[in-house]
Amino acid sequence: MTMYTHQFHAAPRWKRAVLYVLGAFAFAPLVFMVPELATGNLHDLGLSTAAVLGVGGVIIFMAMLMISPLITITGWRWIAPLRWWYGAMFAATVSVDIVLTAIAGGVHLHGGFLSRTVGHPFTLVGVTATLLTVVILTTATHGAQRRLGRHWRTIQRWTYVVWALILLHVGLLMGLRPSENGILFFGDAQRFWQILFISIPLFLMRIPYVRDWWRGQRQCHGLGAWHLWAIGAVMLGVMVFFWGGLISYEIEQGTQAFTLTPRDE
Amino acid sequence: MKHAYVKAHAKRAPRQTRARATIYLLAGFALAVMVGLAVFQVLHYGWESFILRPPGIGATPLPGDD
Repeated sequence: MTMYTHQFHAAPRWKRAVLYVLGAFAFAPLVFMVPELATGNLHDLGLSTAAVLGVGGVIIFMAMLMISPLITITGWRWIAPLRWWYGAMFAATVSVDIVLTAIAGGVHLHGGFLSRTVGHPFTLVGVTATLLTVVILTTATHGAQRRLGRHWRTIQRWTYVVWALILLHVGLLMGLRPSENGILFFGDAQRFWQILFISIPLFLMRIPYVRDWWRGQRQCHGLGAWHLWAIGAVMLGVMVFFWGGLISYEIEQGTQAFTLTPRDE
Repeated sequence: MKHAYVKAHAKRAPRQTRARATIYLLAGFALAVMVGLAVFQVLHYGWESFILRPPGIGATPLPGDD
């Protein structure tokens, strides 16, 4: 872990083990693609890339955004290293996604390299988000923090621009209308609405007033704060339904890619 | 006499501003190249080809799909 090394090494062994396990899940989208990459079947790669790496990247990005609210809710500062790790794995996943789309995206994205990378608004927005992510990742080090000083935080806050660009990318790709499974569906639902609903609690918990209020209530009432439990249960429900739905879709598509039987959906 | 921290900060601040300017310059250049290439695509293949989703991509069905 390039950042938060102090928190990571200061944590007890079992907490570090938990971080390793939770962190390992971020490899899943790339692992799903290994058999198709190994066989080099461009047609299969073209079918799987967006469904496995694109959706997988969004899942990892949302996991990264969950870390700060989780620290506010629970006070577990020892999970902070996952924020950097998920950010790094998001950058890796979407970078491979773009490379594979540029090489093998011709199944539906006709034209050459440029057409597949900047030839449509949704690809242009997606590539822009990836570029910003690479900048954020390369400056997410203690060295960059020292060199940039007070400007470091501003550049790291580009993460919120990436968040908006991801929503725009998926909105341009999937439209706003409900898909055949509708909006309130666990799994292959309309992905723009899934991501939007996941974003709502993550955004609310970042509002300084809400964050400070929650922290104050937790410190004041401890585990007896029933109102925090109730709000937390609602947010957990939203996450399980929509983020869990995305994960369910990822597992389905990833398994198909891993077993070399991708379907054109 | 100036405090040591103030003197160190006076040296650090311009360096940090230069580091920020370098990152903004690199990111801005990369974004400008991408937008330039997108404009080239529009000029070369036309606006419709750029703005319309190809069949089979996202919410746009393949011909013959319901």
